[in-house]
Amino acid sequence: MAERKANTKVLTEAALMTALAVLLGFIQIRGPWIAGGSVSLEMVPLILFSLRRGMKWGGAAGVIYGILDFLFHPFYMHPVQLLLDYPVPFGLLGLAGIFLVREKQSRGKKIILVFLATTIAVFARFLSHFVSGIVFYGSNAPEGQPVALYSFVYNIGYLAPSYIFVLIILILFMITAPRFVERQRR
Amino acid sequence: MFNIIIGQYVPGQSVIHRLDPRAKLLAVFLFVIIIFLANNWVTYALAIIFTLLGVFLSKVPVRFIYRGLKPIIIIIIFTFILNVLFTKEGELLVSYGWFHIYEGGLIQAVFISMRLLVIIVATTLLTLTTSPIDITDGLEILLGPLKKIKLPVHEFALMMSIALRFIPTLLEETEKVMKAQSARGSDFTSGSLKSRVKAIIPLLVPLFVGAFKRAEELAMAMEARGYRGDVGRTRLRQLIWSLSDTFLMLVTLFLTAALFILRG
Repeated sequence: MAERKANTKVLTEAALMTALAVLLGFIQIRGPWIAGGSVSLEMVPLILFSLRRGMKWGGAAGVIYGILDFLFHPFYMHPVQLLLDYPVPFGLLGLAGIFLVREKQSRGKKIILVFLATTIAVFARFLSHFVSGIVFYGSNAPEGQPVALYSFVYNIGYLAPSYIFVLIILILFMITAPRFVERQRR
Repeated sequence: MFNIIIGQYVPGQSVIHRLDPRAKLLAVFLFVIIIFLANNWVTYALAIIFTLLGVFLSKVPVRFIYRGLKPIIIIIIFTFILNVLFTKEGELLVSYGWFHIYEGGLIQAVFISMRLLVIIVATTLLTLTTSPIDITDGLEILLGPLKKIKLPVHEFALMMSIALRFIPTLLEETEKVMKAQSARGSDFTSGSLKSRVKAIIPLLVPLFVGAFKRAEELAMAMEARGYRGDVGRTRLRQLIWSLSDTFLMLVTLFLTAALFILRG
């Protein structure tokens, strides 16, 4: 019975964090980055939730975010591209959950853990979009084109600024309200 | 700084709107796979007619379709140019210095752009005529068989529904928090990038506090009403499969057969 209760709460938390991610995804930050991919803060709740509830739940929330993102901004070219641009990259953000931020750790250690978690999560997301871009141009551009380069430039163009924003905000968040980032006991 | 666009769904009463979400999902899913079979003028023409027919029957104003296409047009133009410039097949049409256009390249560029356009219009049409909650319900039922291999389909669909339900609520809350913080002199819209990032934290923390509180209350309310997962759960919204849904399936299957037969 106790187990069940904890599950419902984690489930609703995952749903609310996904909703918050969708909401923050609507708010796009304008800046000098390449048009196309957008710089926004949708990764903040997803990474924070992965740290808070672990990889499995974080990944699930990410996958759901990916599906919702597709419903709101559908961009489909190729079946593999669809998977690698929507559910997979956001699901991979769950990797942040391999790091454990605990209450009794020092602030410095917590900040380092948040830094590592964000870096690994965003890098995994980048890889997924990167491969997706190669698949897309691989199936639509003529032979012999530097498809990997196109994909790299396009994806790094918005993910690098996103990464910096999300990292700064998560670290500031960690300093202001650490209890949300720390791993919850069931 | 803020550019908010919510959802794509355009409510309506057209034939396409009233189709069962399961039928629409299946049809679009099949269509975006079989479109890769098209490789000559006849097959592309068939696919385009099928898509245009859908757009026409849906009675969705064309500007909504265009809005869905806008972010992608640059990519289509880019792939078009790539294909025109770098495919060296067929007759040479134009030659100017290093700049050559071959007949084969032009045809391939037109075909690939057509394919991308048709795919995007078809998927956009699905999200324009089906509310997200209907898509969620349809997905849960269609993916139902995966429960057999222990995939938590029900939990996923429930999380999606809850998320969709709470997006407007959280949006309202965001506006409230923003007003409250502005009243305290916070400024999100001007100033240097650094000061704007700093202003985001007092906005985000109350939002997360609110979201976690809502999650806890919702879980409690669900359990008080006897939520115990998927077992024996009944639904408020029932999906009804009608004759027109079967008809859509038949048309899609017919198109699949036609593409197989007519492709070069």
